[in-house]
Amino acid sequence: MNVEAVLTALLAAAILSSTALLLAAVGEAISERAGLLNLGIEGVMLISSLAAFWLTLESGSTALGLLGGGAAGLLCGIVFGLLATIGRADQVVLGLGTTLAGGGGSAFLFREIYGSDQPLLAQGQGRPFQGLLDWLPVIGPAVADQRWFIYVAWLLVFGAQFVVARTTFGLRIRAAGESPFGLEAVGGSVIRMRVAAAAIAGTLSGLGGACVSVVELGFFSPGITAGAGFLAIALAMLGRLSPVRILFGTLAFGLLTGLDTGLQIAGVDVRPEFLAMLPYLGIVIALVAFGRGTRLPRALGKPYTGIAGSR
Amino acid sequence: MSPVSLARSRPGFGDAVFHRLGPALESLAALALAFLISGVVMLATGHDPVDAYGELVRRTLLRPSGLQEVIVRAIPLLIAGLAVLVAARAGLWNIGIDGQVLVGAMAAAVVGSWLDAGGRPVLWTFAIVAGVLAGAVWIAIPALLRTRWGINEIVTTIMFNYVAFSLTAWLVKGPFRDETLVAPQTPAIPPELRFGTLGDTRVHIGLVLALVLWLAVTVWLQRSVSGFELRAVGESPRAARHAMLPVAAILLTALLASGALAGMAGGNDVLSTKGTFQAEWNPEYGLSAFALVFLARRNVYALVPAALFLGALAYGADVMPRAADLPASFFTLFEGILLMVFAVLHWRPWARLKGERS
Amino acid sequence: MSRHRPIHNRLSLLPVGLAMLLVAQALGPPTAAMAQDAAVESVAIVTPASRTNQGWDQQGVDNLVAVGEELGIEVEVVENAGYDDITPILNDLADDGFDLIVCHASGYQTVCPEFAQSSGVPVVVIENPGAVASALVADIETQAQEAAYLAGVLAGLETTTGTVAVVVSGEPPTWNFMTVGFAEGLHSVNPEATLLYQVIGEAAYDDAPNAKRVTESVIAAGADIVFGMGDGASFGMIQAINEHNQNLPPEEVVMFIDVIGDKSGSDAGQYLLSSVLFDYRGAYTQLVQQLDEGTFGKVYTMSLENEGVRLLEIAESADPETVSHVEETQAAIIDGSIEVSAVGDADGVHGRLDELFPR
Repeated sequence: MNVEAVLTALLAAAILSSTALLLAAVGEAISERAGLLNLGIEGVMLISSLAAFWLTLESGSTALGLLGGGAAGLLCGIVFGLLATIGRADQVVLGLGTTLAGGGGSAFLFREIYGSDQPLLAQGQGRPFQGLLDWLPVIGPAVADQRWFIYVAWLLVFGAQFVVARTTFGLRIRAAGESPFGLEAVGGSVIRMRVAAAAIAGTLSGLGGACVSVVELGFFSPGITAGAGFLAIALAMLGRLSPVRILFGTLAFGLLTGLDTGLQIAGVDVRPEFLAMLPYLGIVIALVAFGRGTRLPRALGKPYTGIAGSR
Repeated sequence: MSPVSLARSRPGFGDAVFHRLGPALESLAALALAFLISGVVMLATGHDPVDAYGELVRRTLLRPSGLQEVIVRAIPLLIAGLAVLVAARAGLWNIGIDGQVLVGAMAAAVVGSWLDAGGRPVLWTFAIVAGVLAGAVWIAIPALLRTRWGINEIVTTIMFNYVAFSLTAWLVKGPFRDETLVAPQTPAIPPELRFGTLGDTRVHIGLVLALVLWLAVTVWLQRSVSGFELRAVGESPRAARHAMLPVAAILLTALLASGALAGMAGGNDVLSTKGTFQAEWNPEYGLSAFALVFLARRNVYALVPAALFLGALAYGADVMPRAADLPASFFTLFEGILLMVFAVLHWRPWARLKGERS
Repeated sequence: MSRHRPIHNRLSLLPVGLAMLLVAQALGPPTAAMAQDAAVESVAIVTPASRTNQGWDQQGVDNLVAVGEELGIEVEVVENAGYDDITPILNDLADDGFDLIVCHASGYQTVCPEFAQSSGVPVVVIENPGAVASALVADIETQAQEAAYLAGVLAGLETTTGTVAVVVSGEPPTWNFMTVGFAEGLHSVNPEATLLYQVIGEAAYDDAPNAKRVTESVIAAGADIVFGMGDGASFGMIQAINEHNQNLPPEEVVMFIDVIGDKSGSDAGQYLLSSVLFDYRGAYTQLVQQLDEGTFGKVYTMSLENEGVRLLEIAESADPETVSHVEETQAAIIDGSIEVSAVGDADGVHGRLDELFPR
């Protein structure tokens, strides 16, 4: 057995599968920074995943499909943001409803459109940097031979980190979540910032969902994200809402999942159920090691009711 | 005239009526809107909403067997809803209901299968206790992490769901497996020893268990000192700390109680309808339990009718695919729309009139 | 506590009272048991997952529908029933007067016999011979290990790298029987081969992302033939193989052996070497006949001999000698000179695999 090839495949798979999770988690982190707790990511991802798949199938272009998925997510994000701010909706209930509606809706629509067919996307995306890092064992090919959207996703994540940490816009978003009254006092608009954050978050989640069907798998079927939306929420909190930390978290999670496969291939005689537990226990252990005393934004989950507190 | 000034200037009979009817009207309005929106979706995809809704009502409410099945479905939902509620009133989110249900069910199934010589009271008692303890044990680690180190319980309880699924599968495929059967499950508790049915109906004694639990939780939350303290901590942890309440201990108690209740929901299923614990079984009551608590607006009294309603939806999802060619996914969509409408139709004046947070 | 009880608390008991009224109405007279007809007119099938998953569920449904058309019987399909308590569904079917209910999942092995006993409606279960009861419970045994043995022989002869992978989406009995059969077939022609056994997850029947990931890993580990049991997850495996094979010369492609259905005509059938087909039509036809004749309540074993299971026609890319060897092996199994172990539980699978292909 070519051990190097197996390790490379495991690492490459970890990177690939973590991308969708990464995008959704970073999206959620931005949303939470602004004070919006969005538990509906799973639903947004599924709807966007279906939209992206359908568009790619119809148009033949993965780029168009990805844009479509992102657009679907953007729409969902704006709606969520508006409902949560102007609509004064209870965020948790709204999020839960979105999850159910998105999950049920995407499954229902898929059945209506495709019936009992299971169409597959024929051609995968291109790999622009394939072979460039072959000289570096395992890590080289795993990183360089990815499809182009993976690199786009990383750029988006670093871009998000930059925006949130270093720009005025990012400062205002954080203020909307940390001290909304303060933001209003200096002339900012909490509503506008929250909706903007929700829009960004929705777009990222949508891209994440699109990534699953168009880039990762090449097809859609009901429930295809398999709980990635909820994992994204967990990872967002684990990464303390910092995009770069989330990147490491999702990668570690992907690696632990790969460990399960790797150990089975190596013939290690451990029950597969036990190996399946590892990534999740890993997150708990990571939380104990790194997550103690994590402070979430003070206004997270609470609707903003204006300077006077009541109207 | 704003509703607030209305209250201050003329508190009177009309006000009180408005006050009482308001939340109920709001709920009905939300329901109507959800039915409307879903009806539009049905029309857009070529289904007949009038026919479908008619069938739904006929099959779930208008025939005794349907109503009985709805009640049977509502029982574990009610218990799981109590679990979510207890934690929610303390300001905590127990997303680990699914995992606690699984370990509780497995414990009840295993203990029950050991005791089939003891007769029903013995078996039920020990099985239920096993389920309760298992659920509490399962939430213990996330609970301790939260109370001692402030680690967010949302994440830890979600993770423990996944672990529970794998762990119970492992145990049921291994040491607790019924060797005489091929598909992995615990040795079945004979039907005579499970929760019997009430009279000639399909409703089983779990209903009594659920109602007793509901009563106990209601009394605890609304009438006891510790329940009051729990709610105080939920309303404002900072104020509670200033009042010298032992916040950490209260939070721990709330979570443990929540886990115990969830474990009991699992035990109920094993002792009533399933009779065994199967490796691939995961009823996923957690999501429904949260929906339940929100539909009931975190009010323990409203939990019962809300549970019946969701039970009707669940039963509808079982039988409607045949009756109206609507797949089960449509019902999930409907529940989602309902929750979203509920989230938005927040009649703010009520919250301010009552002086509560909603 | 305040002495002044708020009004709305008492009024909120109204919905509770309403609920109790509903309960009282519910405890009404039970529905009358349906009289049994002599001739079977309607059959229902309950499946845990979607009837369009091109796997376990779809095959049962399609086969029953075909039998229904041929015999002029009404067929009702209840899909996505999951593993929750299906008694409400069964009761609903009984209320509507179905003559026979097929419980198409090994997970229903306990609930369906109990239902039959209490309601009197005959049922068909899977993999539970101990539950058979005259006029009430019949059992279908899928001895798919025999056909899987043939698949193992096929794989053993066709592999060029010497590494073969078995990728499963869980360890239910149906998959387990085939895993062991496959391993024994592989061992009989290629005992030096490396067998990689990968479990994607627990009940991961629709987990296509992980299926794809795991398949990519075994391909990297050198497997050039993948025997995949997934239901919906199989598409993940197939995509992994399709992607890997792009731009590769025909000698280097990885081939897939599927289970249950026939994907050869579709997108997914590009690199299909063969498939272990399940055909329930014979079983269903005979069970209906038995119910008509009053001899219902036995075990029906699907086997190579009665063509309940068989190997899909092997792809043209395979060596003709392989094909004839497989045919000879099939004859040997049917006449009894080769025996294939029937191992349905997960522990047994691991044990047997360790015996055959120690690591």
